[in-house]
Amino acid sequence: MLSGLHQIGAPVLSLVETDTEAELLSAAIPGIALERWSPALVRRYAVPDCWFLSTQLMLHPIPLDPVPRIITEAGLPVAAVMHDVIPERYPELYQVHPTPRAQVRLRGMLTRTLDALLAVSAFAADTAADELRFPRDRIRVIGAGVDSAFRPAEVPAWPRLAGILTDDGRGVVLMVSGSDARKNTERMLAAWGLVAPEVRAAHRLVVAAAVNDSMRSQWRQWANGAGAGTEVTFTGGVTDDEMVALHQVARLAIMPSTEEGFGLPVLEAAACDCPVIVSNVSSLPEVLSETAAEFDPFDTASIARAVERALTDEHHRKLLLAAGRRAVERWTWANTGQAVMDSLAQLGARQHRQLRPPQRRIALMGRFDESESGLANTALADAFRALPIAPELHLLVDNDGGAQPIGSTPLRFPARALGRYVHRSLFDDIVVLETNAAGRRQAKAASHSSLGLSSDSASDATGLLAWLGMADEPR
Amino acid sequence: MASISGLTRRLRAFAALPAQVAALRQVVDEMNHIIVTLVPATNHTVTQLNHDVHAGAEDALPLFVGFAERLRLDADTSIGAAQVIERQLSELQHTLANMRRDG
Repeated sequence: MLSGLHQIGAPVLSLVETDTEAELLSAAIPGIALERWSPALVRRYAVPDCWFLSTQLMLHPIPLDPVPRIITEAGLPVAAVMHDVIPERYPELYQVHPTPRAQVRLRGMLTRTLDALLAVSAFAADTAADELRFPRDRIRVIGAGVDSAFRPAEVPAWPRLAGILTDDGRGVVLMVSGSDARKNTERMLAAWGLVAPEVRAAHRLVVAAAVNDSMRSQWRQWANGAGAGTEVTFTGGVTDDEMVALHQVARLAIMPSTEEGFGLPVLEAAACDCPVIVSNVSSLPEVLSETAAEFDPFDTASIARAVERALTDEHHRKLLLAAGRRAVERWTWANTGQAVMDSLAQLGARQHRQLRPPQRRIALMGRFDESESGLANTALADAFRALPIAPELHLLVDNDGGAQPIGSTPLRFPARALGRYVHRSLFDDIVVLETNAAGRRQAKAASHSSLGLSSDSASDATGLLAWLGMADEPR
Repeated sequence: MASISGLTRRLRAFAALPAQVAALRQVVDEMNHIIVTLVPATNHTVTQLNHDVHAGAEDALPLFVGFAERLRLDADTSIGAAQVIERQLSELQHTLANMRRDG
């Protein structure tokens, strides 16, 4: 989606927390605008018509901070990308343990506070509206695209598959699968056993999926049960380039899933000029948009008939190829980017919000306990708070020494929470209150500032204000 | 005419307020339930982890990693619960601000 927005020249800024994130994004989307999260940045962008796009709300498990607190505080409208609601739709499979169950409920509650959802397919949009109780008229379909690495082979593909598949003259029928039951691998293997023997003799079914030994052994049993043990290859995990090469050598790709949010492998196969057939449920008919390519995924005979025809009927194969090419032209990241921009412009925020750019905030890190340095730090914090123009002050408390903490305020967090649970980006500055050289070195290594204290907390507080460059601000 | 439309707007806003407060109440109740459900699960996991550590089996190392991951996920989920409450309250604040603005 980001690459699509970048391609169409949309004013998009990608926010990152670490250098590694920045490097990965820059490599994936050369020229993309990147900035580190900070209160200053949110202050700058807390302006009318600016949206926050959450790309992680639908990941499983849901990560921390799909909508960072600072965005909520600023009152920016939020739209989230909606991939699917599979855990919500199949609780017996995905909500067996208490934690996933709680996560699914939280996701629904969080979603209902958002302004818009950007769904990858109409099926995903419809099911999300039902499962998440989100207004359907605030969900837009933005589609998806295919990575440019998926294209017809320009260099021989077989050598790139060394180690996972060798060319034995038989045609490859490719299924990209996974351990989830909805991928329908069991029925696919059973259906392969129903394909005409002369067709099977000229082909082999290749199932590409990273699964554990137990699942692979189960699949092997199912293949043997269908009388097709020697005709099926399970590749295990493959690299990105091997996945491309698999599509390039395949005579046919098949996606028999009983549920997908979109179905990217369909596009990936089509982009490699490989005929592809799909199940007639969930989002898959929407992606390919060709009824002649569809089959009933719950009926093994229907799957077998579709495979056989796609491998033997040349006229039908041409029709499948044409459908694939249309799909590749329709579903592009640039179209997705444009759909995002159009959707946000049409929808607007769900309700008027007074934007509240976050005020400047700093964190003091150190001991705030009965020890000598703890008492000095506490005195400094109190003196600093008393200054008329002091920014919002948070304490990051290092109590590893075990000494008794003094008092408690809502703006007080354990220092060890910094990073995962209290983000560095929440603060304009983090100042480590250390008096020795080792502490200052540690602070520098963590990209924090450090401050040595005198015995006069009032002058230290004024000094801190000056150090922050705020001493001359109007009172 | 203007005063009638203003009155209608205010009546609609006031009529919506109880539903929003009720929704918030429901969310808080659900939060309570989630946390009360998670805490014993976390406690159970810790107990089991302690047991395995005391048993001291090398083969159990992947299990330790699995337990640790579950603990982390439970902690993340609790934080997520707090964030949901914050967003709900923020929405309510905006609604109330809009009502005040509309007079």
